[in-house]
Amino acid sequence: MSISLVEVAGANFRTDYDSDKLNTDFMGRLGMRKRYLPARLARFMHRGAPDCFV
Amino acid sequence: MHLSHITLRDWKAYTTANFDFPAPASGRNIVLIGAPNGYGKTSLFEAIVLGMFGRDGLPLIARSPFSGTDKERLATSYKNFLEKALHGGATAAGRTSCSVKLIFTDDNDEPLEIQRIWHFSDSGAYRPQDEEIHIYEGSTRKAVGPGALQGNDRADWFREYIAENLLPFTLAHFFMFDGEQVSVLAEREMSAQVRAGIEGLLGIPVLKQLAKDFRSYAEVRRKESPNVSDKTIEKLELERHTLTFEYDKKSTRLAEIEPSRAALKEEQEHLIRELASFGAGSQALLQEQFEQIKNYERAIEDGNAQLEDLMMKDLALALCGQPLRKSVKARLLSEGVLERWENGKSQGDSNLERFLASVDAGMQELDPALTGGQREGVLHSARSAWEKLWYPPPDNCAEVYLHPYLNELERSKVIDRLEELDELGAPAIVELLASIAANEEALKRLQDEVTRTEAVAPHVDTKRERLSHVGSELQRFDQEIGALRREMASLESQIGQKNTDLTKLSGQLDQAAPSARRAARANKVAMMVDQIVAKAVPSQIDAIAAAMTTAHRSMAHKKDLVERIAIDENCDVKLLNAAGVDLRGYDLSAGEKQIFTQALISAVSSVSGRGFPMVVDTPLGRLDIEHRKGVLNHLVQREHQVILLSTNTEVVGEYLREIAPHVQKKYLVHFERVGDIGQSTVRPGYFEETGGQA
Repeated sequence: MSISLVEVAGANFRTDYDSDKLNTDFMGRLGMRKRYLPARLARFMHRGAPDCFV
Repeated sequence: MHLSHITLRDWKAYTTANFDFPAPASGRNIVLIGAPNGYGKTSLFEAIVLGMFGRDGLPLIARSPFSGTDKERLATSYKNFLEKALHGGATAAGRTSCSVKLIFTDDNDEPLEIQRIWHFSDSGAYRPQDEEIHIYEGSTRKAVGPGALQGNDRADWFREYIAENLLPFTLAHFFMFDGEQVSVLAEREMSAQVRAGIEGLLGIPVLKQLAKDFRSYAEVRRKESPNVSDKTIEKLELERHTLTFEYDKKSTRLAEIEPSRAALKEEQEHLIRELASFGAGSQALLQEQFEQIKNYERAIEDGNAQLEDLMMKDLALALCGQPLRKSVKARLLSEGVLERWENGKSQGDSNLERFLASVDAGMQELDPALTGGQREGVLHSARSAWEKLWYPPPDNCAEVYLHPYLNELERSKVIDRLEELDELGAPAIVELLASIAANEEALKRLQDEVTRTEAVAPHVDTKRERLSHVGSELQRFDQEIGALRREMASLESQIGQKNTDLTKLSGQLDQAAPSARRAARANKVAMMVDQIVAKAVPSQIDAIAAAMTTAHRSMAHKKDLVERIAIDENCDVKLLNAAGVDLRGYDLSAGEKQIFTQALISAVSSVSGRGFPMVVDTPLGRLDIEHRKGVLNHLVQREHQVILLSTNTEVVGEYLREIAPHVQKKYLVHFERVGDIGQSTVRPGYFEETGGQA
């Protein structure tokens, strides 16, 4: 089964229920409106301090 | 009632003629008067009709060139007719009048005598003013008349008397008719015939004439007062009526809204008192607080937006840590060095060959000349020296590009940005977070305060709202009431003005022409008459339909198939056979049509309940052979007298034998010509007895 761009865009950065809930909580805590923001922050933080993700 | 005697004097071809008819009794009701064409048979018919009805009888006479009901036309024709009616030899013999005398005898054997005398000038011109009519009642011959009445009133009196005691002229053509006219009538639309029949039965032509007379009366009266017509008054009255109607409407509306306004006013006062007890500022305070809440909410929103912006850009980069940022910076710088070194080297390379060529050319000019090998050696050495200039590359030069997508300028921008990030410390973010938190705190406090205010003054908002609503309602009412009062005042003055005008005009009208008001009344009555006419006709339809069915059955031939005649309220006629099919869908023969008309005539005369004699000229007219016996048999069934005026080709032979048992008396008209003047005389007898045969 192949995934098209439309399906990716439609998914709107959703993965599974638990991760989505975590994401939503995080967004709510910081007043974020973009669903990709937590992921972006996580990626940068991982670059800076890889240890805290272990 | 039967016609017992006729006397004609100087009427048409008769100088004098007398007829005596016995009373009908036990199945014998027929009087037969025979005359060949041109002998004066129809003259006798005309004498009976005009003797009874005078001018009104003219439409019944087939021969008169009568058309329409135009009065003037009628008068002309009447005059023309009469001038020809005076016996040819009368004027020469000094007689300037002719007369018809009819004596009817009622069931109590009491006679009623009508005599009309028409006068003419010496030259034979009819003199309408001199027309005489005399009526004598009873065996004592008591004269009756209109007394001192003159002119039209006099004529009306006689018309009414005859209608009451004998027959109204509207019904006359159902009792006195010419068989040939029936065939003409039969060609008319059946519903029109039926309508005419019923209208005649009800005397509706009289009513119609009455309405018409009313209208012309009104017109004449109105012309008498050209300055102040009742139309002006009617118009004024109508205007006043309209104004009054408007005034009443407005006054009703005023009465409607005034209580509402009073109630609203009271509520307004109550609300104002109540609100005052809560303190004047509460509403304003709340308003301010709501404004503040909005401001805080906006500030918090802005703070969050800033925070998000930070998180999207700077904060993410900052989170990756200073070491990483430093290494990226160093890398970018080293790549910058690489780029500059490469640029310098390649620029040198492009000049190297030119330099070497120039060196080679210089060497050839040397004296003593160098050998080729020497020159090669020099050039090679120079090339090596140039190469050596660029190697090794500078200390901090990158070996390869990790970020080949960046040019010099972009690299420096990235480096600047990374350096800025170093400046971004926690304090700025903390400050932002603190401001957001402070705003949130303030917002919460304010909301608590508002809740408290609302708790202290419950429903104050609702009441404030209600008060402003009441205020605007009151304003609306006040405007409407003001407008109504103004309009009413204006209407009142207009009505007053109209009343003044009306009084003035009525006064003038009463003085100038009281008839104008009568004209209006006459118009009203005419309208009423129209309404009565419209309603009257349907009332007789059922009776006519039943009587027509009976008459039709007794006259029609068996093969005619008509079982029943149905008439609806629009006078539309259906000839139904046994199966209920309307035979009018098929073409009716002339005879069938004539039978229909005969049936209608018979129905009207029987429904009218009048025991008046029937006088029929050329009774079998153009009737086809199949229907002749039917018609004759129907006539003999009648209880009342029937006078048949027959030619020598009509009621003779087998037809005569058919009715012979019912014949009471027979007359035959004789005719002789003296010079150019015809002379008719009458004697008892009939064709067969004198040898006259068809």
